[in-house]
Amino acid sequence: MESLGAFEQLVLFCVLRLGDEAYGVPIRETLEERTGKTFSAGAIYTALARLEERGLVSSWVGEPTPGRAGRPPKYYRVEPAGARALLAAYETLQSVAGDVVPELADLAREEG
Amino acid sequence: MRPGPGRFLRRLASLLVRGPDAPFVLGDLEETLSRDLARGVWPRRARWRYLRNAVASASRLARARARGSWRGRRRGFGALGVSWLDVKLGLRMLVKAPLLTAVSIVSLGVGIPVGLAPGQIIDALETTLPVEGGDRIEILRYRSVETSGVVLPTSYDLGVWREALGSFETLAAVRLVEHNVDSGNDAAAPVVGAELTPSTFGILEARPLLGRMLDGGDAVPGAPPVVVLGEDLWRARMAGDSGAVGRTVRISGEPHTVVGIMPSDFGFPVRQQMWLPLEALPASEPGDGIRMQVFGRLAEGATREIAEGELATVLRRLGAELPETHRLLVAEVAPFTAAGWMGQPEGSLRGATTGIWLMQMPSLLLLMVACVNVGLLVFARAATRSEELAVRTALGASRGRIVAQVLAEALVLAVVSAGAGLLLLHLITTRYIETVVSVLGAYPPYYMDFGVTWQTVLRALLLAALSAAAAAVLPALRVTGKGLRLGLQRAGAGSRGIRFGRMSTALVVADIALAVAVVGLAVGVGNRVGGAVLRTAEPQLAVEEYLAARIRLPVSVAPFDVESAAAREARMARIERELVERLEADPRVRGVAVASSLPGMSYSRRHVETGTGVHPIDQGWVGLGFFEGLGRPVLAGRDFGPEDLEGDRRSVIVNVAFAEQVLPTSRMDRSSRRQARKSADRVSVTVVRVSTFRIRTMPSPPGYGILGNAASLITSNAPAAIAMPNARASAPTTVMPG
Repeated sequence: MESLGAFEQLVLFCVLRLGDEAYGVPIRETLEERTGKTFSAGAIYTALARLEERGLVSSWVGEPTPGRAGRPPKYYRVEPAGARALLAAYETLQSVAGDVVPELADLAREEG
Repeated sequence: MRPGPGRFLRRLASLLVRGPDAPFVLGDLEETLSRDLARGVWPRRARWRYLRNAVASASRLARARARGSWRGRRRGFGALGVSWLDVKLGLRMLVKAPLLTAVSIVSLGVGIPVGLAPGQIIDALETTLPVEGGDRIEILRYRSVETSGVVLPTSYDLGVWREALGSFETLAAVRLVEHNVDSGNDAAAPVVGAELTPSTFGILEARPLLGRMLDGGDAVPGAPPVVVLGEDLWRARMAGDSGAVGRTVRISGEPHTVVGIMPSDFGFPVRQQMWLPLEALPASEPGDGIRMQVFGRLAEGATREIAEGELATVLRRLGAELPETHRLLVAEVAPFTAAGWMGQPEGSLRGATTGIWLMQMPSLLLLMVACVNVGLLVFARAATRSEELAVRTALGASRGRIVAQVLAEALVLAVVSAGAGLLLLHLITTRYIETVVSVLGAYPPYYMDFGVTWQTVLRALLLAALSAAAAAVLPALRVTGKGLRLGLQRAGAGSRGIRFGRMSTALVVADIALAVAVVGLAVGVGNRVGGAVLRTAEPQLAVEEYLAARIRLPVSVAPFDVESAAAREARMARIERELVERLEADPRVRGVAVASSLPGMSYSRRHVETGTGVHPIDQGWVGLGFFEGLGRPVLAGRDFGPEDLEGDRRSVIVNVAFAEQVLPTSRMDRSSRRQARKSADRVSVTVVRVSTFRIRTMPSPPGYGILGNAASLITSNAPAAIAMPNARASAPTTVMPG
């Protein structure tokens, strides 16, 4: 089973969430909205290129649009292998976190 | 303020952001800026975000590329942005454009062997011994001031050098010997082996296949005789018997114990398969003792120049002490592989390298012509596809991507063509070796590899790739640059791109054909020249009817200091007589003849003085009935008779050329002369009609010949020679089966 880094997991979730509209700009905006952090377009494409090379996502080139200075967007889709890897990563996290999440939350509050 | 990042920022971003996904990143930057502006973000802030995003993206992409993680850690082709898909497309283009493929393969297929063969041969000739630090193994010797010839040191010199020289870790000595080897499995047969000091194996860091190598104890006088055999000899004579170590073989009649088997890739010093210990002879008087090749590994920090200086110092001392033997000598330290083995003239192989380069320089230029022409074809192909490339660019393919694709196609074509060329090169070098072997009668040393080396492969690929790449990248850049709009317009108008008219096409094809023809011509000329140097024509003698044998006394049976020359000759004569009598008694043998050298072998060069001047000639000695035995009876005068073997033996037999050039007033009658001139192989027709059985097709240095060195036969167009009645004992014997 393919292992995924934390950022790769986030990107995969975003691609999955965006469905047919998953290309660079919406992916980055979704990530920034949900994480509260900023990411460069290069970071997104680097991660997606790695995932594509491993067969976890696939891509295709769309139609050029005026808002992109005539450049086409590149769309991504999560492949079954990507879905399995993401699910496994998520389940692993869940199983490890399990019933300690409330304790974790308590501890975080104390610290905060 | 106009919407958008502005011309400067856009240009800057496109310069910064690189990589296969750069168009998409740049598109994202544009779209993000548009969205920011649409959301009411202050334009200056939106542009600042654009710039920051561009720089961060460029940095991220560059780091990914540097790590090799971009697109799955690309290396090699990947580093150029070339994918395997491009390679596949390139292979498809080979089939799609068969004419271009065929012309390229023929051009480079001919050009590469012609241009790179010299380098290939020189690499082999200038190689070092195949051991760690083989380039530090040097040979030590003297050179005569008077003759410039090499003077090999004696065991006395070796003793002095071992005491005095600090530039070498160890010194060792070797000399070639020929012995009859009888393993007990079949008849004894001669083997050229080497006697060497056991330290040789240490210097060469050799390891045996079975048993052990020679050690110091084996070289002590009186030690039990031992021998180390080579794997090939062991397999041939002992059927690869794993119990061979410890067995006894008879070497020139003397029983020797086999103590080890060396692997087949060890043939020191030339291509030997048998090694005997060189006895540690006591340092006798100067001038005494056997002569041998002395070599050693340079000590840490020592160089050839330092070693030669040290040897010169020792020689000066020896010259003062022993002026008769050492005064007119100079010291020389040279790479071991420069030694004149195999009987070829000293350093002839190394000296040949300059000649090889000079001879092949025109061919090298023609290789470049071939490369340029292949490049031209690739250029033409790329130019005709300008619309296709423009459309791909419009669809989002980056400039780098387009260039990478065209480059990949060109590289595929170049690699396939270079592969064909290398294959031909391999065939040519193999043929060269066969020719050298047939002419010299010996294989090159074991450490010389004339096969296609990785350096040659690299050179071929580099040349082919450079020519193809240069021609591919230029049109691709042009098409994706200013020519983009034009290409799109043409594509939109349904045009099929640049088209070459009939005349242009004919000119291009003619240019290529001419280049290929010239390369082919160069190959032909090279073959003629090379063949003239190395190749001999088929013997004009029914060679299948003859058997030749050579009689030699083993060195160990007749050491120089034990048996006098007279005793040696007498023994040789006895052996020869006995052999001739036995053969003559054999009903299957039609005749037997004896000569000092057979046709095609080297002869002793002499000068004869006549009224017309001094003439260099080749001279040989033959036994009675030699010419008749070879089916070449005397044309004029008489053959040798028993009376010619008596007294001072002043009678000689000469060939036609000698008669015409050296003795123009000879009494050769008109009909004989006419008959000689009518003969197809005029050079070989002699007074005695002794044929030159091997004729070279190139003039060689002035000289005349008859039986021997064929090079001298055709040189003067009027070769001459003397055949003297043989009364010498040490002569080859020709045996003719009935």
